[in-house]
Amino acid sequence: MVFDKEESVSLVPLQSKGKPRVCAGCNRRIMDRFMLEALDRYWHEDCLKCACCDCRLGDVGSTLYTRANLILCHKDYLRLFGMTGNCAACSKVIPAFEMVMRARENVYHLDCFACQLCSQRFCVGDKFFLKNNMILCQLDYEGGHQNGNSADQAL
Amino acid sequence: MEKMKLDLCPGSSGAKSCIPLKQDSIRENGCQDLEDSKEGNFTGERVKTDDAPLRNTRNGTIILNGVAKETAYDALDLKREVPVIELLRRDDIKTGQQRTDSQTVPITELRRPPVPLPLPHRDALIDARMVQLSPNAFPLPARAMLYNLAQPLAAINSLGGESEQYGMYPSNRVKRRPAPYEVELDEGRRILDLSKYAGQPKIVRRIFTNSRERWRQQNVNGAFSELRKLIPTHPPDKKLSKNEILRLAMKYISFLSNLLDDQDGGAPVGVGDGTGLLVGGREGGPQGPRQDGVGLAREDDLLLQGTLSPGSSCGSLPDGDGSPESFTEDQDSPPAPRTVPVPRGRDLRRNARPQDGGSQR
Repeated sequence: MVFDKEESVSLVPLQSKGKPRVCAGCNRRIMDRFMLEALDRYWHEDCLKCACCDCRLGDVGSTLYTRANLILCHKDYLRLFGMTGNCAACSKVIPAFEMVMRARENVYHLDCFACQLCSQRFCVGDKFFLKNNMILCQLDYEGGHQNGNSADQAL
Repeated sequence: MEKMKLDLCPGSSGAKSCIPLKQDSIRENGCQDLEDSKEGNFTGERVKTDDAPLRNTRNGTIILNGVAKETAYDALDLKREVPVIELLRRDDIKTGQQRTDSQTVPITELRRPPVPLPLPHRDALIDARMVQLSPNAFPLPARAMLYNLAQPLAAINSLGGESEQYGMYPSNRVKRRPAPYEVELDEGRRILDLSKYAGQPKIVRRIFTNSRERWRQQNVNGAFSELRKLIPTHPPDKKLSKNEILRLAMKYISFLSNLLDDQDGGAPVGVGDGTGLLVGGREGGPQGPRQDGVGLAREDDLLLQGTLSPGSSCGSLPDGDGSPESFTEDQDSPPAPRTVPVPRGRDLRRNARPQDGGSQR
């Protein structure tokens, strides 16, 4: 039985031959040109909606999540049932649907992942360093390093 | 810097206030907020703060003539009809007003209106000359009123150059020379006391009321924005009217509440024995093994192991006919009669609380 699953949602055209499908959302026949197929059922494009944000799942993406008799989109599934944590930089809560940056055991908001001295965010490929559990860019890290600090951990 | 700005005042037109002093502290924000609607010559940033205002006013409150007072404190001052300046005990007013103000929402605090007037942490003498329309508890709206009052009055009252200096300085933390401001206030007081305005209390009251209403509106709008941030929509930045915000908030609250009821009805949180035992009278759902849940182990699943009882396999859509949660009704319009999907979907929520009528608008 379906418990927690990512399901695929696919758009299928209405077949001219064959019995007309019945939408699982409104229990009416689907006369549209396209319909959605998910969970072994067929739906109007308007009927397959997220229970939380009411977005049309056909438009949003190709997966839907189901739990507790609810159909959810990815974001809302995480919003409701996802694991949350606290940002290591600002100590505020991180909603489960947000993108995060990870460094070793720390988790950061996407915006918080910047050098904690010069507040510069990083580009792809930049090196960053963890010193005293602080994120540092290369300049700041080496600036401190050259001053004879020995207790750091370079990544 | 202060000096420079003060010098600018005479040059500004009568209707415009002087360029407000840029403050180091963040308390003058509000006056800028008020002013922005009128003029664009603000340099400071709009810092939102809801600091408790002006704790330092320990002196008696000086009220302008009776007109000003009435607008400031409806409760108390309406009873007074003293047309002259009088010293009020702040405690009297404070007790009346502060209680209501302190009972703000713990999460979203109502912002106090900005403090346009200089902070009265100076000596009493200066305070005595300042127009304080309200005590600490409800000070800022009144001050804001005075702040805005000054400009319309300046416009109305075509006195000499001094009226142009009516512009209120948002500065209230920086100790600047108080003279110009007090001079203005003195002038204002005198002007207000003049027979010209003594007999026209309505104008003053109207201006005060306008300012106060504006402050109140800003507060309400801010609260709406805060609420909007919590409501899930698609797309996330979709514009919602106030009506929609409220209705969707109700819908969301009911949704979450039902969700919690369902989860709790199935099994208490924390039962992580992984044996698929059901606790309590879980209705409906077949009590199968928990392989499904385990097989799908994800971070979020593991967190909620206690509630992942097989009973919630009632969440399997085939049982519930795959009907989406009934909360997917249309927003802001009376929902079409939901006949078929809802009852079926509700089977598994028999033990849930009766559906709130509020969500079925």
